[in-house]
Amino acid sequence: MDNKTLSVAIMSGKGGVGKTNLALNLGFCLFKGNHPVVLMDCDLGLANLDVLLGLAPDKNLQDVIDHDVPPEDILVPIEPGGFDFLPAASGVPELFEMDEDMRALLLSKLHPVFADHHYLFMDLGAGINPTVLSFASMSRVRIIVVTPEPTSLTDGYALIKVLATQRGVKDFLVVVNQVESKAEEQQTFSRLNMACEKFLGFGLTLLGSVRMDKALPESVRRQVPLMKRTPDSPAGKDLFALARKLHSLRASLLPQLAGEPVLVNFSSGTPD
Amino acid sequence: MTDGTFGNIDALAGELRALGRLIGEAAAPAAGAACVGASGVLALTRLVRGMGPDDWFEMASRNGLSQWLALPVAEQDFPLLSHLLATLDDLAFRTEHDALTGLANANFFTRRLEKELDRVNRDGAVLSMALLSIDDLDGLTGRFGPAWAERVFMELARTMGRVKRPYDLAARLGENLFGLILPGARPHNVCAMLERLQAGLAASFACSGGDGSGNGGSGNGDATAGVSFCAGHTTCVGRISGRACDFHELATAALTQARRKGAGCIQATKLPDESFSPQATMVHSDEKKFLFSGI
Ligand SMILES: Nc1ncnc2c1ncn2[C@@H]1O[C@H](COP(=O)(O)OP(=O)(O)O)[C@@H](O)[C@H]1O
Ligand SMILES: [Mg+2]
Repeated sequence: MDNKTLSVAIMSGKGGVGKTNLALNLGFCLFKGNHPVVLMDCDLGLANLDVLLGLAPDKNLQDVIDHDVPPEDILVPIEPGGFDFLPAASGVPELFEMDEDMRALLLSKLHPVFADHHYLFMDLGAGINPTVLSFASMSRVRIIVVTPEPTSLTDGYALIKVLATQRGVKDFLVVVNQVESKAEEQQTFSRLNMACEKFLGFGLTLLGSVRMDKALPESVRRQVPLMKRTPDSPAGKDLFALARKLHSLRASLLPQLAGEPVLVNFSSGTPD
Repeated sequence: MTDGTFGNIDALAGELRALGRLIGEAAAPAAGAACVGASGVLALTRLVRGMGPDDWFEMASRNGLSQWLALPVAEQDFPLLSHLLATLDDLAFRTEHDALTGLANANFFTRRLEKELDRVNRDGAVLSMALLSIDDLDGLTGRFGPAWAERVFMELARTMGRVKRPYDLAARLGENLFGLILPGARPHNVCAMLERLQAGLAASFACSGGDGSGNGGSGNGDATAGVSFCAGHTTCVGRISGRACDFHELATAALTQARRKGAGCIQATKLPDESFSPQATMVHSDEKKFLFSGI
């Protein structure tokens, strides 16, 4: 059967820049646009998608790995009718790094779940570790989230550099989160973009930005997705615009996706 | 074969026939055959020394070997066979081990190194190896005799066995050349281990009054109290271009360098794998400056 699922990795060098909220709210918009969406919490050691949703799933990806639990049993519906979530475990130390074989086994078990949805959003943990690097290089599309802060910018750049030099990945979409103005979006993106062009030899694509908006922390506190509670807030409008762009990206990629697996195997792992 | 070791070949053949009869009797009720070799029944025999029926039952149930027939035989009824078996065990051990120290020998070391390098290539694991040799062996042997050197080697082997982790391999690769294969160890781990080894070796000579055997010394306490070795080590991570011999060469180069520096030196060589050095992926200061200021 032809593949219809667009896999999207959402990542950042630095933590707390808004990855999880972005995954959740983009997912929500696309689901409302009649597309089944699955969110996978890929921060396998410190999950927090469940927290944003006020859910406390009793089974998670660790059970699929350790106890052969079928993936359908851990799938949690966020909204009935195709907005689903694959929870990860919290409090698993990084020592428990999956190796390549284990990752391949897990992903092959999860494949039927992926294939049931139009979008697979992978919420990656912050930092540069093997799990982040493999999920990021396997997904069809990568969104790197940065904020205008210099620390976020350098950490984001570091992640791009490692993926480019170690895995040969050179296509990234950028979301600038927590901007005060359009000018700030432009300045932040162009710094990052120009650094990549100058030092790494390739440019980035701006997907867009999300304004700094207190509606966001408010929705986090209430454990309800912003797009459900206050879609008309400034951040809600920005997120909606981002979702539309992803929607047309998937539409344009559909013919190619048909002949590809959900997760591309960039198995080489060698610098090019 | 009529040499003194196994006695008359006829005597040995006699023992084998007796064993065959025993097996035949034991197998008859189980297999429904009159004797070994008849009616398409074949008995495969292996004599296992130092194991009783109880050990076997436990092992068989644990490993699903219950279809095997175990037959207890008294060692004294088969003296020649037992001796032959002991000799074979000993030969098998000796093809992989050094006779003096009981450590693995060079062949075994190389085979293991190949295997570990395969693993490194497959999983991107970390692997280190170290080579070491006792300092000023010639000078000291000249003064205290060859027996002294043997005691030092044996003590070094014992200390290696104590200091290494269970899955490391310690080997004697030449007269005065010892090797360690250390899976998962990075250069600082290797250094720390070699230092512990150095200290352990010095201590065991110091506390046994200069005699590694601990039986009172033979007047050379002053010389042996200062026993030390030089060591060279190297580490690889992930894919490496070369094979075991290249890896070995790098460790040898490190050892040569260490020896040039002087007694007791430990030296690491340049790592064979680029990916071990984070230079390629590291964010440098000009990149940071650019991100901060745009120039
Ligand atoms: N656009 C925004 N405006 C205001 N606050 C935001 C915005 N985006 C994220 N935040 C705040 O940042 C915090 C961290 O967001 P989260 O999505 O959990 O980040 P990450 O997953 O990258 O660690 C959230 O609790 C939220 O309050
Ligand atoms: Mg998060």
